[in-house]
Amino acid sequence: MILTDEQRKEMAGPPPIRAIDPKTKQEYILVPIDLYEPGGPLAERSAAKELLPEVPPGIQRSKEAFLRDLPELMANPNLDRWWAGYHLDQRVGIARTKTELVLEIERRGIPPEDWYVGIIREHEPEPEEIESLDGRQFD
Amino acid sequence: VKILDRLPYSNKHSTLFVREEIIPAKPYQIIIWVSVAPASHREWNPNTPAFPAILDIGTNHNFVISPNLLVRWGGIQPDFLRRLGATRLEDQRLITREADIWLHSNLKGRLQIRRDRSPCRLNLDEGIIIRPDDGIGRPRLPVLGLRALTDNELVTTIDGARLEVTIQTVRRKWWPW
Repeated sequence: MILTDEQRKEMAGPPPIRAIDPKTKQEYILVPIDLYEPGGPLAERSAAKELLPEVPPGIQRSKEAFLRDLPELMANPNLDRWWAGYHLDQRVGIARTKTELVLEIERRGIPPEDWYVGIIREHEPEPEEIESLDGRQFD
Repeated sequence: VKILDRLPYSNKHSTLFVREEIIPAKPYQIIIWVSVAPASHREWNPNTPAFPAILDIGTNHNFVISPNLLVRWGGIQPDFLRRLGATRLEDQRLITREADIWLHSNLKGRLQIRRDRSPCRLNLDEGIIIRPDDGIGRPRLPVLGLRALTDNELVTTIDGARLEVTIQTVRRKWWPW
């Protein structure tokens, strides 16, 4: 898209500049590319928000610890689809069911926003693309 | 252990009753009965409401439900469940929340829930997806996906000749050390 003279004048002001499509009423924000390109402050902020939406930091940190250890855990075929629990950076344990670990975490009094239990198998990076039927579209 | 024992499904339109609501079910939909509870529940609470869901091996997640039905049928406010992460579904970015699904057994060869046995707890990695209704038409039935069956190592048999589904557990592995 090529800026018109009027738009160029608008862009001389401090970013971000708002634009609106008069037909759809959809709003857009125009920003200089050096703010948005990979590594730029807006791109970093946007990526972080994209990956970690509203997840408490303690859960996220525990999950990162789980993902860090996952290759090592998956190297043991006997642990296929067992579960590993983490409290922040520390492993709480490995068990056959998630329930065993959740109860152990509760027994230790670890706050709900500070733990994560994951299954030992391949994990897709977040946000994972999901497909699911509509539940009402096939007659 | 058989959780679903020759549960029938229909090749015709049918009707479900969820408390005071009448819910139409379409042909070739496998209707199961489930409950949702926080993962921290030590054991089955018989007061947890059961509601219908579609068993859909084409869904590549655990369980998808609208917030409205989670409250109305499941008796749980979404905010009561821990936030775990995010997924994308039809270009929508959706939150996953931690919960277990309890899959109710049926009377052999019948649709009715077995009341003499506790339902089977399904541990879910990455919890359930809360998918907002778009406000058009009737709400989507919740969906139980293939991931929940796989992670819990359940053996699912669809008998197309009899129009029946059986889901059973496999023998537990021994502690590996």
